[in-house]
Amino acid sequence: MKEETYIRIENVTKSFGGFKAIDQVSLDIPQGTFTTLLGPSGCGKTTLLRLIAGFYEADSGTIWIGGKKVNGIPPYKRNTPLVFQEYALFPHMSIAENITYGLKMNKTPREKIKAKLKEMLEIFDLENLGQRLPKQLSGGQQQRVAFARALIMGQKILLLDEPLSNLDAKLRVEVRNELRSIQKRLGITAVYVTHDQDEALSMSDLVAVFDKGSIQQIGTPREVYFRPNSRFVAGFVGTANFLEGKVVDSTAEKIVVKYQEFVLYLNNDNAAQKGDKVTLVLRPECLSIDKEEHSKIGPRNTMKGKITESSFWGRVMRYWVEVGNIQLIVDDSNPAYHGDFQGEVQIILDPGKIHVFKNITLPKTLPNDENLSLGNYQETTF
Amino acid sequence: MLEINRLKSEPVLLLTIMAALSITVFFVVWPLIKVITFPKPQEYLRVLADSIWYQAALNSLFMVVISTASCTLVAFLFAYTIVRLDVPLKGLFRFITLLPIVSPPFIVALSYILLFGGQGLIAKYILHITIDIYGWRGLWFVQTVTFFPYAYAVIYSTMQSIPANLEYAAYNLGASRWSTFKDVFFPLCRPGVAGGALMAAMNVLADFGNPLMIAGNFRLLPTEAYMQMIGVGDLSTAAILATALLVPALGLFLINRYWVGQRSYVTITGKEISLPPMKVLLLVKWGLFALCLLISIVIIGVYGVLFYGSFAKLWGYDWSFSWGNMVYVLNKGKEIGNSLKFAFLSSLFAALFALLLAYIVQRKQVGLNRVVDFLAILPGAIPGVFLGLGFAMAFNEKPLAMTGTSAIMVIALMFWNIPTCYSASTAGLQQIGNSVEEASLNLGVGPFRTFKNILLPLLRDSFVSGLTVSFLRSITCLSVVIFLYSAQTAVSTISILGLVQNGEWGGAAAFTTVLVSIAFTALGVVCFLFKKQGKSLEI
Ligand SMILES: Nc1ncnc2c1ncn2[C@@H]1O[C@H](COP(=O)(O)OP(=O)(O)OP(=O)(O)O)[C@@H](O)[C@H]1O
Ligand SMILES: [Mg+2]
Repeated sequence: MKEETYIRIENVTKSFGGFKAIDQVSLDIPQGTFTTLLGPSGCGKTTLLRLIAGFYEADSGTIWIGGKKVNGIPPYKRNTPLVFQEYALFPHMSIAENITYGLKMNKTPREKIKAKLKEMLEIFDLENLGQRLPKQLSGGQQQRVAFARALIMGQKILLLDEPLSNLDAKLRVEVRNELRSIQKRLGITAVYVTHDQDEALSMSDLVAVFDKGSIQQIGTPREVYFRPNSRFVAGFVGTANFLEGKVVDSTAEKIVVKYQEFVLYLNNDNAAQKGDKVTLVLRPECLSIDKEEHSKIGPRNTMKGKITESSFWGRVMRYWVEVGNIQLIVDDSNPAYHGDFQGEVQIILDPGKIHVFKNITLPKTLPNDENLSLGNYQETTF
Repeated sequence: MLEINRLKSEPVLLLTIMAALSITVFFVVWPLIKVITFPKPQEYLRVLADSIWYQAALNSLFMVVISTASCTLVAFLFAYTIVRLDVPLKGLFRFITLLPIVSPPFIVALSYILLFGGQGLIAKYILHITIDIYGWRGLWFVQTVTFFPYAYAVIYSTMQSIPANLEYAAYNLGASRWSTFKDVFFPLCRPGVAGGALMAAMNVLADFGNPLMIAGNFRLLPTEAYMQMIGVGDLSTAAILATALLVPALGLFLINRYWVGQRSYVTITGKEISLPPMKVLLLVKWGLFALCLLISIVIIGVYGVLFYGSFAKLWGYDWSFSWGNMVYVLNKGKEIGNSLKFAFLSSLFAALFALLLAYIVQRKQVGLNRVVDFLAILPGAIPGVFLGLGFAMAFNEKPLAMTGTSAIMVIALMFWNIPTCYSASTAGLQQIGNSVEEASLNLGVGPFRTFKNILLPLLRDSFVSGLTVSFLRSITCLSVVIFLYSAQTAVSTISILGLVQNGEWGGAAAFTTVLVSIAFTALGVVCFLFKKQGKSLEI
């Protein structure tokens, strides 16, 4: 992305008491993009969003919006409409009054308000609900009112704090597509907070993965998924198996990694050299499983193992396979009515889909030691 | 330190907080200090050594113990009957428990005299006996009837939040009915019972109207303080007695606020499956019902006798119908007008000022919050007698001499009512999530317009309910104003007391009836307005 930066966050720190909720965060958000702040609960996503909106003041660091430094500017002068997680609709005002509140207060001419209201009611499919009170709407409808109330201001920016978390799974998928297309159409710079990896990956131009108050990785959805820079990112954005091996040979394009008795031939994306200790990130869907006797490729990039457990999820069949002294998660993305794999199997690795990073980039603390010792770290929300 | 920087950037806020704080200190803390420091130390020693006052203190303690016990017991049985039993007339029982709020504090005592006194309906006319009703026994009965509703309110709300399924669970595990009650239900009620008992104790301790009318020679601290000040003119002794009253009152208050207030085991999730309450033995059920009915009848009797007395020609001698008493009362328009005026102004100011305090404490996170919060609830701990005496002593000279003015009546009642309004506003603010306000700021609307457009409309209900309760308390208040009135600023309750002291029972009854009617009308109007909007008034 080569667009101009619209929101720039520079070395921002924010503490509550002695606790650093945001620690030296820097982030450039390009104009017209959909940027997601993704991270586990309590990692500081809301805090960062509220810093942008001006509800908190940074202890140190600078925030720029549209080329203007906004530190010290109160929230009502920042023009940063925010969609609250709990909607925060005004309970004593009708839907129409809620949506037009901001415009009324800034003395927009009445006809213009009327036209804009009509447009918003149409976009969000609320046409017949204008006179109702918020409590007379369903959750999904209230959510759309919250969007409309923020968008009607016509600002170039929209902040969203887990706006879909109160909706049911199906509605969530619908609304997120809708939201994304509106954002694109209006060319708005959106900053979206979520802890849901599916949401982050499916909607965003850019994902910033957060943990414990700092950004772990910034990149496109593909980058953070396929090229995570740490175990934390790999584990949080999807499910991952980790193997820690040693580079026994390397060229500019290829490396050979030895892990226990297995020898793996992989692409060298990270300029690893002979002797380096590396971590391999194996996504369950990038591994394939086969009966042992079907061994076609021979010993190269295969590992022998034994299925200890399996679970049928509909679109995939998930296996837990014991390989040496660790356990790997493998997804068979084409399960059939009959014929699950059982017992001794072999796992085939696709070198193009395996991400390797050198161990020096390991984060300070690992997300979950118990899971890591099993060789995989599994995100619990699917 | 950070905070000071923040306040510097919000000078209006800083000024407002400072002003609110100074005003509160001036009108709450200053009278306190004035009363406590008025007597010299040796006078304290003299008074404390005097067996008369020692006896008065003991008597007060005695009344607190027995009346609190009886109030709590009656309140518990009442609450249990209303919450857990399937009996008729629950609406009536609920209504009964609301009555004290709209009545002057001495109403039961007055009725008691009308029934059992020298000219009493029952004593003289029906039974033809003369009994000495003045003393602790009569007072005990009167205080129980007067104050059990305060305990009831607390116990009721705790009991109501205990899901019946807990008892089913215990029952299901093989516990007997009695042990389910003893081991499951009652322990869960205990915080409510403790809180209710404390409420009753605070009211009994500070009770002024009832003892003044029927305690006779049984000396109690509040009445003795009053006698010393008004009757004898011994300000020092009055101040010392009031201080002796303040200490336990403050103690009860602090226990209630910081200990009982935090011990509730039951969480209300709003998701409980409500099962019908467990059945109890028929004997128990109808026994409790009979008891509640009896108490209700007694209370209805209290009002009935007053009503009757209002229209009897000459109580004790000629029980025939007459408008005489009513005409007499209506000629006392000035006192009624004063009552209305002071009650309205003081409750309005209290509601506004309390709203400001609540807003500062709830929304502006500054370190002074705990101080502001404490000062806002502190008047709730101060017995009315003490507050009246404090105002009389603190504001009869520079810098603010207000003795005998309407202002002192209004301000004293205002601060007496601040805790009520403050609690209402605080509860209201806590219900409005921060984010609703933030949403308004976020849409480009400044803090003042946000306050006006968002908070004020949303707080209207709690504001009005605080205002209403304050109005009712003020119009029926005797203890605070009795130290402060002048010929020009006398109010109805003072007149009633005068009539009682002169044995003019008919006039007293009629005046009380008028006062209660006014209070009922005010409450009725507000309830009606709330109902029209589909809400209910929370008192
Ligand atoms: N006003 C506050 N005072 C003190 N601590 C706070 C405050 N706001 C947030 N925190 C703390 O800062 C950390 C980050 O909070 P934040 O609300 O930004 O988390 P989050 O990433 O949005 O989490 P979630 O996904 O649960 O909403 C948390 O540990 C929280 O306890
Ligand atoms: Mg959050």
